[in-house]
Amino acid sequence: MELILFKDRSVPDLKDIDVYIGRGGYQSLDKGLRLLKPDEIIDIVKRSGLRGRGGAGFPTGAKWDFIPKGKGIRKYLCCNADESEPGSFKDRELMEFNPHLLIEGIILASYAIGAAVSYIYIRGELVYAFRILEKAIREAYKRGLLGKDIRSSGFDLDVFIHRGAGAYICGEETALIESLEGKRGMPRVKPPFPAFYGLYGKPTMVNNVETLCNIPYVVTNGHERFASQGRPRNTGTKIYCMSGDINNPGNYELPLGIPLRHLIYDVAGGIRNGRALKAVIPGGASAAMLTPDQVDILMDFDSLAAAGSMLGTAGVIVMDETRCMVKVALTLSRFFFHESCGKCTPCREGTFWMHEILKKLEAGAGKDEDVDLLLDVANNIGGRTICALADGAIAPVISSIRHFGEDYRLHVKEAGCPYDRIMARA
Amino acid sequence: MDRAGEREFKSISLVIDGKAISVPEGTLVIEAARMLGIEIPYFCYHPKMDPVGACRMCLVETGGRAKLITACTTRVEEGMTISTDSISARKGQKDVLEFLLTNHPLDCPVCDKGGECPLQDNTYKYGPAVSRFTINKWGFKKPVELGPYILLDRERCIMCMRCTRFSDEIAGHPQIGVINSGRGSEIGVMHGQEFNSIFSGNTIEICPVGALTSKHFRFSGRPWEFKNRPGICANCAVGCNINWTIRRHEILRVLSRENPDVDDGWLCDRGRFGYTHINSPDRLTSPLIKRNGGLVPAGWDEAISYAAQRLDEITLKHGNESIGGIGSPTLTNEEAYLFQKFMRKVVGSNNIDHWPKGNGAIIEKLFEGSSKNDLRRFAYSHLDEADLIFLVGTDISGEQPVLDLRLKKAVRKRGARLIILHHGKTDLTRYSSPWLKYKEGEEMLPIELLKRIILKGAKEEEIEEEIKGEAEAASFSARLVYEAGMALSGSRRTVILLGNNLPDGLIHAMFDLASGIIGQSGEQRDDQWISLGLLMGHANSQGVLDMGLDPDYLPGYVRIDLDGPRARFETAWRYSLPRAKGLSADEMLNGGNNGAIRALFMMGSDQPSVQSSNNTLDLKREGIEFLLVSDITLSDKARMADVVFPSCTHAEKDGTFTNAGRRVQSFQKAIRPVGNSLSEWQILCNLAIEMGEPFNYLSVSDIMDEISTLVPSYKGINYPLLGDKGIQLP
Repeated sequence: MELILFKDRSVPDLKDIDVYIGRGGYQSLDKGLRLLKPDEIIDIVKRSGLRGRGGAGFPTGAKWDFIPKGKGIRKYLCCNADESEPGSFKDRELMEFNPHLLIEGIILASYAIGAAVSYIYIRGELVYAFRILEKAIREAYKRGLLGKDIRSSGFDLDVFIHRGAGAYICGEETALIESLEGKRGMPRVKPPFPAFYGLYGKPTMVNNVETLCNIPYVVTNGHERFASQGRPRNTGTKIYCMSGDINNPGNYELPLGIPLRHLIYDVAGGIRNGRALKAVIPGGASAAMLTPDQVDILMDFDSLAAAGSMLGTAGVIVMDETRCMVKVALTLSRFFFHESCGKCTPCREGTFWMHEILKKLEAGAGKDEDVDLLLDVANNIGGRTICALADGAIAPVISSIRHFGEDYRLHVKEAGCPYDRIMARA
Repeated sequence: MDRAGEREFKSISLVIDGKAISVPEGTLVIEAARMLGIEIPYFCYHPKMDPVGACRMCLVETGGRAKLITACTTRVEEGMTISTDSISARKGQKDVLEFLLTNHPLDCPVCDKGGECPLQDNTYKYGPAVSRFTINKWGFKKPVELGPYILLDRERCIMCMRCTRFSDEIAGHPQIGVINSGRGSEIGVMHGQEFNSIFSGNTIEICPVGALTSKHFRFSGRPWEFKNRPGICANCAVGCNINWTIRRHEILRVLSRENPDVDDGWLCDRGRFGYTHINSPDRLTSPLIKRNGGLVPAGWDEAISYAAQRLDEITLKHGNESIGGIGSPTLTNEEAYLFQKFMRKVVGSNNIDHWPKGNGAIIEKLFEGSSKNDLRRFAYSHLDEADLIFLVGTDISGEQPVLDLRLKKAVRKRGARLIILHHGKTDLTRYSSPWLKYKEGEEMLPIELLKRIILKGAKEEEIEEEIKGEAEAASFSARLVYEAGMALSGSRRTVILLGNNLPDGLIHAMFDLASGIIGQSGEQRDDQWISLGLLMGHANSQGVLDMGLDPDYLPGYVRIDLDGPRARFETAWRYSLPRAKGLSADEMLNGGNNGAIRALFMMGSDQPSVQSSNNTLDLKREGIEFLLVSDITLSDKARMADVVFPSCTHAEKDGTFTNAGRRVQSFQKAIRPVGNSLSEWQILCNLAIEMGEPFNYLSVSDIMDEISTLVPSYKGINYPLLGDKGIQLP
C-alpha cells in the first residue's frame, strides 16, 4: 500500500516549512493553481471518490460542486479542526506533525471553490497544534504560498485560524459557522445549507482536516491512483484512531475497507492481557457498538452503515470482557448530556433523562422497566432534532441495550454493578 | 432586496390531512396548515420571526416517511402530502411534550399564565396524561429580575427563545440571550446590565409559558376572572390597538391587539405599562368648587350651573372675547369638535386652541394646495413598501416607539435605506446611511444643500465649497450630503417623515423638495411616489387639529377669516360665527394676555404622557377671574381652578382618535367611569344646555355624524364603518 497522509511520518521536523518543501511539499500548487481550472480540480476530486473524513462520509467533490460558481460572490472555506469526538485523535496528529499538508490542501480547496478567505476552526484545547499551525501559516505567507498572487498564479488567499471555546457541538458545521460569527454555537436549521448560506450568509464549504490533507495527493497523482486503494465507493486510505483495551493504541493509516479483525489483532497488537473482546465502537462515541461476532466487518462507510453503525471518524474504541456496558453507556451519555447545546427539546431534555436513568441503573437502583423506559426515551430523541448530536447520543445507549441486555438485567437483578464485584475480587 | 409585489410567486400545491391547497412558494408548512384551518401545535414558531425549529413541537409526517419533519421550518414543496394527526405525528408531538415537561415545574395553580398558557393548552390537547419522569426536577432560585418590568422564572422556561429572538430580530435590542448550555441553558442578561429595552414587555406576551412575568401584573388574578375589551393606546400618537384586561371595572393589564396597518401586534413599554393612572386613588370622583379658598366637593347640577353663571357674568362684563378655551390633545375627535363648537357658538369666541401644539396645520395647508398624486400623504403602511426612508428632525424611537419597529423591519428585513437628518443620536441612527448630523437650530443648511443637489444638479465639489463657509454649523461632510441627495433623487418609493416641532420654513422647504423630486422624474410611473408626513406628538394631536381646536381654523382647516368657506358652518350651526381673530394657547396662558382673557376653560387631562420635563404648562392666574378645568386628577392646573369637573379616561368613554398616520380609530367604554366622572362631551352638552344652547347629542355617534357632514376628509365616516381596524383618511 501507499501512504498518503503519513508518508513522511518518520521525518523529523516535518512541521518546518523547509523540511516539508524538501520532501516535495507544496508542489501540487504548481499543477493545481497554474495548469488546472477550479472546475477541473473539482472534477478530479469527484472522480477520486474521496468522501468526507469528518464523520458523515459525504462525497467531497459533489459537496464542492454545490458552491455557486462565479467570481462576483464572496465564498468561504472553513477547515473543521474542532476534533472533539471521543475516540478520535487523527486531525490533531496531522496538524501537529504535518501542518503544511493541511495548508496546501486548504489552498487547493479554496482555489477550487473560489474562496479568497479561509478559516481554520480549531478545537480550543489543541493549543499545541494551534501554535504549530500559526507558525506554519506565518511561514507560508513569507514564502508567498499564502496572500496575494500565490506562486504567480493570480490566486489570492488569506488563511485565519480561530480557536473554539470548548464546545463539542461546534464541530457540527452550522454551529461552527455560528461560533465563527461570534454567536452562540448552536446548529442552524437546514436548508439552507452552508454551500448556499453559510458564514456571514455567504456560500461556505466546511471540510475536515483529514479530507483537506488528501487533496494535494489527489491533485498531484490523479484520481485513479487515489482510487486504486480502498474499495469501490470507499476509496483511498483512512487514519484509524485505535484506542481502548489493545496492546498498541495509536493512529494507523490503512486503506478504507480493511477488516476490523485485522485492525485489532494485527495492527493494534490484539487485546491487552490476553483477554477476550467484548465490544467495539468503530467510529467514535457517536457510532453504535459492534459485538465480537461482527469483527470481520470491513471498515468503510458503506459496510458499517449496513451493519447499523458508522465509520464516523474511524475512532475505534476496543473494549474487553471486563468492561461493564452499562457503565460505558453511562460514561458516554454523560458526555452527550454535557455537550448538548440545548436548542432542540428532545436532545436537551432527553440526554439528561437518559443519563439519569443510566446513573440509577449503574447504581443498582433500577428496575427492568427502567431499561424499557431508557430505550423508549432514546427512540423518542432519535431523528427529531436539528443536528446529529442527539442521534450520536442514543447510538451507544441503544446498541448497548440491544447487544448487552444481559449486563442491564444483571444490574437490576443484583442491585448493583456485577463488574465492580468481579474487579474487587480480582 | 425583497421587494413586495415585484416578485412573481409560484404557486405550490400540496395536501395536508387530506385537504388540498395551493399556496405561494416559500410558505411554511405550518402556515399552509393554518390557511386550511388545521392546527399544528407549536411553541417557538412566531409568524413575525425567522423560523428556528428549536422546540420540535410541530412534528408532522410527510409522505409516510418514518422521519418526522418540523412544520415551522419546512417550506412547501409541490405534491407534498402532510399528515398532522397520523399516529406517528401525534406520537412525535406527545413525546416532545413529555420532554418539555420533564423540566417544567407544573406550578400552574400559582402561575400567571395558567388558563391562557400554550404549554398548558397543548399538554391537554396533545400531551401525555402521565409523566414517566420520576426523577427530581431541577430547582432554580426565582424570580430573577431581568429589567424594570420583567421577572424571569427559569424553571418554567422551555427555551423557545422567542424573547431573545424578538429582542434581537424585531426590536434591535439584543439585551437578553441564552447563557450556559444544554439543560443548564437559561435566559439572561450580561453582567451588570438589564433588559431595559422600551419594547421589553412584548416578551411577556409572546412567552408561551409563565417564564416571563410582569412586575405590575403578576399574581393579580386568574384569566377566567378577566374580561379583555378592545381599546386604543393613548400614550403617544401611534394609536396602537390594545386589549384592556379588566376585572370588576379595574384595569389590570394592557395587551396588544394586532392591527397590521398600525402596530403589527407590538406595543412599547410606555403603552403596555402606562395604565396605572386609570384606577389611581388620585382620581377625582366628584365636581369641585372653590369656596373660601379651598376646593370642596359639589354635585354636578350645582357645579354646572355655577360654571355657566360665572361664564355668563364675565361675558356680560367683558365681552365674548374675554373667554378662552384650551383643550388637551388627548381629547377625542368628538370632544374636540364639540369644544370648539361650544366656544365659537355658545360662548361666541375664537379664543380656542389646544396645548401642547405642533406644526401640523402647515402640512395640511401645503397638501391642500398641491395637486401631485405621486406626493402622497403618509400612512404607516407606506413604510412596508418604501425603498428609502428619510427622517427629518424626529426621534421616532422615543416619540412614536412602535413606528420605530416598522422602520427597523423595513431596513433590516427588507433592506430599505434609511437617511436621518437629526442633531442627536437616536436608536435609529445606527441603521442610517448616512446620518446627517447638524447643530440644533441649523437644520436648514442640509435641506438647502439637498435642494441644490437634487433640484439644481449641484456637484459634490460645489457642496464642499458651500460647507466650508458654514463649517461651524455642519458636522457632516459634503460627500455624505451628496450621497443622501443622490439616494433621494434615485429612489422610487420614498417616505419622508418630519418631526413635530420643526420651524415653519423647514416644513415648507421639505415640501418643496419632495414636490421637486416628483416633478423632476418627468415621465410618470405608477410605482414611483413620495409619501410625506409630519408625525404629531400626542394621542389625538392630529384629530384635535382636524376638528378645528385652533384659533385660526374651523374643522377641516377652514380659515375663520374667509367668509365663503365659513358660511357652510354658519348654515349648519345656524349661527353667525365670530370673525375676530382668536388668541393662541400660548397667548392665553401668558397671564391672560394682559387682561384680555378673564375666564379660561381648560379641558382634558395631561395624562397619559402630555406633560414631560421639557413640556410643562406655564399657567398664571393673574388677570383670570374664573378658571374652569376638567381633569381626571387634581393636577396643577386643577388645583388653581375655581371649578373642577371630574372627567373620564379613554378607558371609560367612547370616542375616536386620529393617529399620526391619519387613521381614525374608535374605541368603546371598557370600564364604568370612576366615581361620578363624565366624558368631556357629556360635560360640554350639560354646560351648553345650562347656557341655553341645546346640545342634544345622545352619543358620540351623533357627534361623528355631524363631523362627517362638515369635514371633507371625514366624509362618510361613522361608527359601524370604523369597525375594529379604523379608517385611513385620504
